[in-house]
Amino acid sequence: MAIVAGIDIGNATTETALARIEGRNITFLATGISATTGIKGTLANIAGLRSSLGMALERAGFKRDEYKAVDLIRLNHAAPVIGDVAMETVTETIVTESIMIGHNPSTPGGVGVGIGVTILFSDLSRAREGDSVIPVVEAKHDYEAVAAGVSDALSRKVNVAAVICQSDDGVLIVNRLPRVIPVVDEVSAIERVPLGMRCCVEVAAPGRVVSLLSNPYDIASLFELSPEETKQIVPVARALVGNRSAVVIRTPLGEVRERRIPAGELYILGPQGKRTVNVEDGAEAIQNTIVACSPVENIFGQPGTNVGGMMERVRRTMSDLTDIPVGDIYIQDLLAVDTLVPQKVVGGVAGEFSLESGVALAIMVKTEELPMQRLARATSQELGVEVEVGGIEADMAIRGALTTPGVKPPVAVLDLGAGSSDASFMKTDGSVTLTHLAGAGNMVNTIIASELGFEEMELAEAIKRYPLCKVESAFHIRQEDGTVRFFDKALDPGVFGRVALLHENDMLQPLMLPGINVERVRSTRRKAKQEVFVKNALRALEQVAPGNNIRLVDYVVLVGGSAKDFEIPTMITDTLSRYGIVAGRGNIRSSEGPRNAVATGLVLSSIESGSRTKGGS
Amino acid sequence: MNAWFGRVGGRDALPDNKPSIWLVTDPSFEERDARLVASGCEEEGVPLAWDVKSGSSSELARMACLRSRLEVGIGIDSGHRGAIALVAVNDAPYIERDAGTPARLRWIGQAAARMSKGQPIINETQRRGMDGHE
Repeated sequence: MAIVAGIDIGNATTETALARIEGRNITFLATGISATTGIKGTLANIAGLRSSLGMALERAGFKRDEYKAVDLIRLNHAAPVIGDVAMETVTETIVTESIMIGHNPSTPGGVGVGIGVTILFSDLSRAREGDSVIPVVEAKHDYEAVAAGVSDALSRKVNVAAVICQSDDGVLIVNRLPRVIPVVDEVSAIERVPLGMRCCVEVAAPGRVVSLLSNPYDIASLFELSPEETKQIVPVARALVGNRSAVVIRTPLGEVRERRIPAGELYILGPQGKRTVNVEDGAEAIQNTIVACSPVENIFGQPGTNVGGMMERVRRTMSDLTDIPVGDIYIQDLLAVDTLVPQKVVGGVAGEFSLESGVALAIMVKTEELPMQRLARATSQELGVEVEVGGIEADMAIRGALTTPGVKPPVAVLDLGAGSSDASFMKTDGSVTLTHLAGAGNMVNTIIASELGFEEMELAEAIKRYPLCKVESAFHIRQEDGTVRFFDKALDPGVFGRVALLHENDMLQPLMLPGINVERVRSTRRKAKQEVFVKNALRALEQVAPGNNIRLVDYVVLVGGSAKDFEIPTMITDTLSRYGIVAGRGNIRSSEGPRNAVATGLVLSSIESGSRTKGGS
Repeated sequence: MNAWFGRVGGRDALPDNKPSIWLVTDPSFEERDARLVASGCEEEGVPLAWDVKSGSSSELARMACLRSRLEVGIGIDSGHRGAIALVAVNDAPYIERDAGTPARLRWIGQAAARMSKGQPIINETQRRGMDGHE
């Protein structure tokens, strides 16, 4: 009899399956799960491994640190490591001489369009009859005084066409004027608004968005622009789309341009030689080149460019962690996804953002056996237990997946993790083909964070994991599917009126992001999952399917942490059903759901690989 | 010009049936300060009716919300303690804050107005920074 622990060190979690083996009889005792410590495949993983194994031991009736009760630990074979996930911004809007203000103050004042020359509010008393002016009001002026000054100017037949002010006083000012004019407020860097220049202010009615200043031809008509100048103004119009209020000022030297940042070229090495693709050409072009170079041997980035720096960073990080020379680190796969990234407009005066195009890249470094052997030795020394590196991850996953009731070969398994999407296909004769692809849960997080404009990865993980709702009153929420739920106790004022994530136990996490709504977050989340998981599922199955034809696969079992997601399995099942494939979430050993497949596979394969277990056959 | 602020019984009193937030304060509370609360409401497009009574801020806020057609009320007591109450939440004020500064008075008005519209409360530091984002 021997106690064997199969331990799967993943990018996000370390999972353990603990079993008693007598001859060829295997009795599973318990499972454990813990967050992976450090980057997968490095010595830093030992802490997470101890914790996961400890949990399994405790559940099986041993002491948490009774590691010596285990006769053999089997680790997954040389886990491929995701080195980096990065966002390359390809375009950027630059404003010189502050000619555009296109932000969304919560309460702009008035409604309509006003055209005039910008003038400091303190100089308004010097404006003459018939002048068309737009006063620029600093925060030091009280709204009553501003309204009195503007009313006085209007009574002198000065055409005050609109007002631009720094304080949040737009409505207060308009309510005190004899007629309604558009007022844009909350312009933080008011001192950068040029004076004495022709300017147009537009405020749309509540619930509507600006229509004039988001149309390049209307801007051309207002400022009498030539066709060449109209072309230049297009980024301005684009940046103002969807705003409730906007200001455009024409200055003689003012310029808005859309700069294309040289993201650089990717050099992909395959059996037929080297192919080059420019990151600016977008995700589709990059993926097509990857397919054309299949199987990829190595990928480099153009030196001195964004992508070149990123590739080198991946190599250097991996080299530092594994002691393998930089020159021996091979990048074997890459997944590119087109994104829109909200970027601060360079030179803007009210914190304006513009949606710029970008490409997100996930990279996978080729498997190396050396680091895993080193990890096995270190684990053995630390725990005093024999440790061996078992089978290849995708191979183990399929063995674990076969314990799902109703599954038998031929079958394909998709192991959807945090760092990689792995696929394997087992034929009736038991032979297995497998592949590891870059891009999984972590890349979804990167895309969500980037498209919604924040940097905290914990928040992105929460957005990926939990459904959304809107807190509509102190006692009820509306969930993203439209259903309404009531609570017995009043909800916290901090979540009132906000878009929030609905955690387990009805805990609400408010999203404090500017200008978001349920639909925007939901569509970003679903698009990121589609682009990464559905795309990778098809890519992976194509590689392992007989004759690379997905239609020849009949059954697919989804396993791994991301298969527990509340919508990813349905997205994949839906897409694969179009190919006539039956796909669904696995239920490892009828009890574990989609988790623990690789760890279970490691235990199961121990009796086939003739592992040296006490009393084993 | 629309009426955005009025004292009960005064010449500028709002019509009885006008949907508005109610502010009930201690008699020592000055009109100048009430107008600061009103400016926070007005910027959000919500009128404010003002009355005076004696009591704690939570008692005054409860009184105020029960008189408001928008079911949101503000109470400010003699110690310049402020409270916002909702008719639906009857066990305690929904929000309680010190109401000792002009910025805080305007924030209380704005917070009550936004709640009456079902919108999130703007963070107090953001209000001071006037960067306009929620």
